[in-house]
Parts: sequence; C-alpha cells; structure tokens
Amino acid sequence: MTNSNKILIKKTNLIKIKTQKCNNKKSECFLKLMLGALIGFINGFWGGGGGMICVPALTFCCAKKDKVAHATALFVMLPISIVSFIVYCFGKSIDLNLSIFITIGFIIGGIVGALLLKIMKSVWVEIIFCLVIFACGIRMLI
Amino acid sequence: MFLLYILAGVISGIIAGMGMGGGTLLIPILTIFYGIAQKTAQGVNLLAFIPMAIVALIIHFKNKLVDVKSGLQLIIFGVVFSIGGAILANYISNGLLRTLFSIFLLFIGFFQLLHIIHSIYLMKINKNKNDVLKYYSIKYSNIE
Repeated sequence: MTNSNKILIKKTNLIKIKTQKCNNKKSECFLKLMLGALIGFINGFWGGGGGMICVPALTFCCAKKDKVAHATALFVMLPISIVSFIVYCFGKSIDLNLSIFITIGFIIGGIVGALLLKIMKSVWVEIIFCLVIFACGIRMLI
Repeated sequence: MFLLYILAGVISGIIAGMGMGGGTLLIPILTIFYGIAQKTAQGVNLLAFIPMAIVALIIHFKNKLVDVKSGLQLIIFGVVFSIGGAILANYISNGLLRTLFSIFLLFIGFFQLLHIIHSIYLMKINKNKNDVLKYYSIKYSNIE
C-alpha cells in the first residue's frame, strides 16, 4: 500500500468518526429536549415526581455519573417547580399555613437524610421505599 | 396538629435527602393520612421542594457536580410544558387527579423495582469479579 493511500484511508475514517459524533450530538440534544418536555409536564401536572424520572433519564440516556445526575436533576427541577408553583397559586389551590409547617419539616428531614446517606446506602431502604410507593398507589386507586 | 404536619415533612424530607423521590412520598402521605385535597397537597409539595433544592444546589455547584449544558437543554421545554401541565391540573377535578396520580405512583414503583433488580445484579457481578481477582492474585503469588 502506498503512503498516499494510507493517508486517504485515515482521512475518510476521520470524516466518518466526525459525522457519527455530529449525528450522536444532534440526536442526544433532541432526546434531551423531549425528556425535558416529559419531565416538565409530569412535574407540572402531578406537582412532583419529575426528579424520579430525571435522574434515571440522565444516567441511562445521557450516560452521566450518579452524583452528576442527581445534582443536574435538582438544577432542572428548580425552575420547573417555581414556574408550576406560580401557576398553582393562580388556581387558588395553595394552603400557605400548612405549607410552612411542612416545609420546615422537609428541611429538617432533608438534612437528616443527607447525613444518613453518608453513613449508609443500602438496597433495603430502596426496597422499603418501593413497597411503600406500591401500597400508596393501590390505596389511592381504590 | 402542626407537629403532625412537621412529622410528615420530616419523613419525606429524609427520603428526599437520600436522593429518592421525597415529593412522590409527601403527596400520598398528605392525601391518605391527613385527608388533604389532591391539588393542595401538590402545591405544598412544590413549595416544600424549592428551599431544599436551592441549598442543595449551592453545595453541588461548589463541588462542580452540575452539568449546566445538558441541564439547560432539559429546562427549555421543561418550563414550557410544566406551565401546560399545571394549567391542565387546575382544570381537572381532585378525584380524577388522584386516580391518575395513583397510576403514576404504580409506574414509579415498577421502575423502582427494575432499578433495585438492576443494582442487585450489578452487586453480584462485582462480587464475582472480586472473587476472580482474588483467585488470580493467589495463583500468581504462588507462581512467583
């Protein structure tokens, strides 16, 4: 094989790789936009649960690490939650008195949970959470 | 009574702090045990999420864990569709919203189940890997 041939093959390979990357980027961007729409709709409609979809979406579809996915999910959920909260205010379905107490509890619990996470991270917590979710779902359906 | 409210917040806050869906738990707790209307519970959940998220985000930004670019890509349509979803929720009755939410919960539970199975599977593979590595290290140490 002559030298010029080798160079040509190298060049074509490079072009192939570049186009693949470009296509991947485009499809990934499209996927993210669609996922964003889904997460936004769910969080607006049900007032929560967007994070439960955002984290696996980021880890499986966009191949992010676990910690990065959690942090980015929070970053995505914050503006979405603020906007949908404003819309809920217009619907007059907000009980401020109740919200203040629950928010105080939520902050205390959040700190405790974050500290607990450093000590233990077991599958058992997830299993219990899963069972509770199933029980609540069935109870609310009936 | 307000102590009971704080307790509900603490329970779901712990779950939220551990990186699972705290809000997904707070809404059923409020509607089942406290008899609060579905929409009010959803509004409470949205409000409770905001201060926690701000504090956690500041820490995550300091540790440079936030992927701002893909986050912004998700936010663009997310904000638009969340307005649509919230307006739709305002129009629907509490009962229907509750039924739809329970179906959503069952879906979430199903996905959580898949996630648990996946993580148990990964743990087993890692154990096997460690065993293999141990085996080889013993073997090679004997050769040497």
